[in-house]
Amino acid sequence: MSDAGGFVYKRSVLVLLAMIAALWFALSDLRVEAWHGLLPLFEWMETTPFGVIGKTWGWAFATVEAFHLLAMALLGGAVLVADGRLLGLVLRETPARQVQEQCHTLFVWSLVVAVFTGIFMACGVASKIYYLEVFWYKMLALSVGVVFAFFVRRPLVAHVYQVPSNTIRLVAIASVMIWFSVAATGRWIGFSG
Amino acid sequence: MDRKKIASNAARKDAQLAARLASLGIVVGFVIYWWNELQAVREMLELAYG
Repeated sequence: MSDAGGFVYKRSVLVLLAMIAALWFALSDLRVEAWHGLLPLFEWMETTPFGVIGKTWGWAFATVEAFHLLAMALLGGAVLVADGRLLGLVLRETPARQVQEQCHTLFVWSLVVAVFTGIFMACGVASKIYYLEVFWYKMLALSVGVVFAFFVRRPLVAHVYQVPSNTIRLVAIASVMIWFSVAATGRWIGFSG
Repeated sequence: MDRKKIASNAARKDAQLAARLASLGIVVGFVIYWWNELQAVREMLELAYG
């Protein structure tokens, strides 16, 4: 894909290729093979100090979980405010760029905390979550959400005043959908097993 | 129009197209996934309570 001036639409091509690869992976046997291949990693995770602490001391797991939930709440808040602004629902008097920049900082820090605390928690219950389908959907949603936020949404928001509003709204809705899926599937893990 | 402006316009169009593609993919995936989940829950509730 390129325009009349010879500019190659690298980002668009990469997005299209990633979507085709994801679809192919989801429909092929490679998905099951990869799942089997990851079992030793999850067995090892339970033997790490994180896994031992998480399994031995319930209070340690609960404390880390509290920080994980706080980080998820902050992340959700940052997403809702940033996307709410793009949809024109909140903070309409504040410049869109300012809202996006401030929310992005909060988003990055809360994502870092959520990922690190999430790894600790996963080590404690690795053999349980490995067999939970919803855990893999959460990982898929998280991966898509992170790539979408940094590789698609952020470069677009840099041109927020020149981009058609329907594109901005579509991106905001997709962003809310993907982070809702991360949070909801995460909650579902708690209900399962 | 100078080269810098042309490149900036092209980068913006690229970001726009990528965002539209990715967003549509997410929206479609979201609808399919949650539709299937809700159907599964409905079937389980029907099995449990009739």
